[in-house]
Amino acid sequence: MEEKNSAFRALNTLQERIEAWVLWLIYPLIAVMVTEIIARYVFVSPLPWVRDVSTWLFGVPFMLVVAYYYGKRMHISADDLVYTFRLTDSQRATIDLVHNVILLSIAGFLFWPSVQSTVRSFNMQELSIMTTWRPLLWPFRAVIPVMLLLLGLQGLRGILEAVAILSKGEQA
Amino acid sequence: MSPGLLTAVMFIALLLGIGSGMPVASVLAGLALFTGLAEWGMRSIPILLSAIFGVMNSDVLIALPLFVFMGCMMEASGVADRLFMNLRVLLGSMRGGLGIVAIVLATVLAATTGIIGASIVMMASLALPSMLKAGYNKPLATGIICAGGSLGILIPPSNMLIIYGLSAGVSIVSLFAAAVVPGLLLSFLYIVYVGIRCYRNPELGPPMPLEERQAIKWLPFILDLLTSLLPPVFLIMAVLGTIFLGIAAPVEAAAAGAFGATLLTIMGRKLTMGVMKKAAKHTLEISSTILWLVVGASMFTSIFLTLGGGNVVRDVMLSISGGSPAVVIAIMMLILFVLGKLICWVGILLIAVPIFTPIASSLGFDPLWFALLVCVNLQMSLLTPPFAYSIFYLKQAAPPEVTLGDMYRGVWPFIALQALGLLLIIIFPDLVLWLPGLLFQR
Repeated sequence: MEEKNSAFRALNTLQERIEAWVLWLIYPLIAVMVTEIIARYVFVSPLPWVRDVSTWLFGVPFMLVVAYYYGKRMHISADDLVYTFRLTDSQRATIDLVHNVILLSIAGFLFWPSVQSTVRSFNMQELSIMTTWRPLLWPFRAVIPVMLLLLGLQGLRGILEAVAILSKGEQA
Repeated sequence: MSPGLLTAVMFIALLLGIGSGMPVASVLAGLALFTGLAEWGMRSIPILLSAIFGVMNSDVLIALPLFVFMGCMMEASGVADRLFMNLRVLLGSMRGGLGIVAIVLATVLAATTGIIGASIVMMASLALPSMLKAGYNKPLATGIICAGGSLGILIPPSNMLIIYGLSAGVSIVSLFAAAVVPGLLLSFLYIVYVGIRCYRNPELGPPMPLEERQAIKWLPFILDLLTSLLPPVFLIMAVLGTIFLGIAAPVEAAAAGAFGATLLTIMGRKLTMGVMKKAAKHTLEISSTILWLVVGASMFTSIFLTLGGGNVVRDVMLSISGGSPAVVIAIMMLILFVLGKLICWVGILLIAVPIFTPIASSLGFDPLWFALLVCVNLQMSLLTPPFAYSIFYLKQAAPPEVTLGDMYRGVWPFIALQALGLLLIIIFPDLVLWLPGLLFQR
C-alpha cells in the first residue's frame, strides 16, 4: 500500500508540474496569432505555419491536463445537485468506483488503437492539410496515447481509492 | 437491438449517469464506448479516436481559450472598476439607479468577454457591495448580478455561439450578429423591470446616499466618464467590429481581443507575473473542461446518430405534436428548460443541438432564428435552480451576509423576464434576423 501511495504521489507531482509548464503556452499562442494578423493585413505576407502551430499550442496543453483535472474533480458535472441528496460516503464511493471503471475502460480500449494510428501516421509520413505549410502530423497525434495513459492511471488510482473507502466502510 | 429500444436505453443511462453526479464528459464517452463496442466491436474505436483528434486539432475551437483569456484579463485590468464608479455617479441618484448601472455594466462586460464566470466575479466585487451599502433588497441585488452576468454567454463574443455554430453547422459570424439584438433586448427588459419596481417601492433600491452625491465635481467627472468608456469601446471595436466588418475571422478577433485585454492591463499597470499566471491557469482550467465535454459529446452523438437515434427522436416528436411546428417548438423549449435545471448549457447544447437541428430544418425553420431560440433558452439554464451556474459563481465571490436563499429567491423574476424575451423572439423573428440581414444581405 505504501509503495502504491508513493507511486501515485509521484504521478500527481508530475501532473502538477506538467500543468504549471503548459499553462504558459497561451501567451505564445496569442503572440503567434497576433503576429500572423499583422503579417497578413499590414505586410500582406501571410504566415502559413501559424494555423498548425496555434492548434498545437492549445491542443497539447488541453490533452495533457485532462486526466489531472479528473483527479482535482474539476470536470463539469451535476455534483452540486447530487450534494443536495446527502449521499453517504459509501454511496459516493460506489459512484466513484463506477466512474473510474468507465475512465479506465475508455483509456484501455482506446490506448492501443491510438498507438497504432500514431505509428501508421509515422510510417506513411502523414502531413497536415490545414495550410500549404504541411508539417508532419505524427508528433501531434502521439499526444493522444500519452493522454490516454495518464487517464488510465487516473482511473486505476480512483478505483483503488474507492475500494479502500468501501472496504473500510464494511469493517466499521 | 432496435434503434427505438437502443435510443431509450441510451437516454435513460445518460440521465442516470449525469444524475449520479459523474462528470458529464465521462458519462457521454463511456456510453459511446460501450454502445459502439456492443454494436460494432473494435471497429467503433476509430470513430471515438477521431472525436478526440477532431477537437484537439480544430482551428475554430482555439477561439474558446482566447475568449476565456480575454475575460480573465479584463477582470485583472481594472477597466470595469473605473467604468462602474463613473456610471454610478451618473445614475446613482435615481431610485433603482445602481441596479440599472449594474445591468449596463454587465451588458458592456458581456460584449468584452465570452464567458460568465469573469463577468459575475467582476459584478460581485464592484456592483454588489455598492448596492448593499445603499440598502438594496438582497434578492433583487443578487438577481441583477446573476441575470446581468449571464448575458455574457449570449451577447457576442460568446463561447456558446461558437460551440453552437460548430455543432449545428451554422456560420459563427452570423450567429454573433443574430445574438446582438436578443441580448440587448434582455438587458433592456431587466433595466425596465428594475426601474419600475424600484420606482414604485424605493425601499427595494434606494438612491445613493446624499453625501456621496454632493461630493461630485461635474466637469472632471464628465471627462473621466468618457475616458473610462474608451477601453471597453476599443476592445469591442477590436473584436466585434472586425468580425462584423468582415476584416477578421472569429478566431483572429479572439486573439486580437486577448491581446487587447492584456494591453489594457499593462496600461492600467496591473500586469504582474502573478496576474499572468492566474489568467493562464484559469483559461486552461475553464477551456480544457469545456473542450473535454465537447470530446465526450461528439463521441456520443456520432455513435447515437449513426445508430439512427436522431430519426427515433424525430418520429416521437412529430407523432406527439401531430406535425404542428408550434407544438414541436414548445416541446423542444420545454425539454431544454427542464434539462437546464439539471446541467449547464455546454452539456445540453452538445447533446440536444445535433439531434434537434435536423428536425428544425425539416420543418422549415430558419437556422439562425432557431439557434437563438435555443441559446436564449440555454441562457436561462444559468439561472434556474437547483443547478444554476451563475449562483455558484456568485456564491464564491459574494460577501458572507448574502445567503444562498437570497440568490435563489432573487433569480426568479429574471427567469420570467428571460422567458418573456424568448417569447418575443418566437413571435417576432425579425429581432434575430434583422442585424445579420443588414450586415450580410443574406
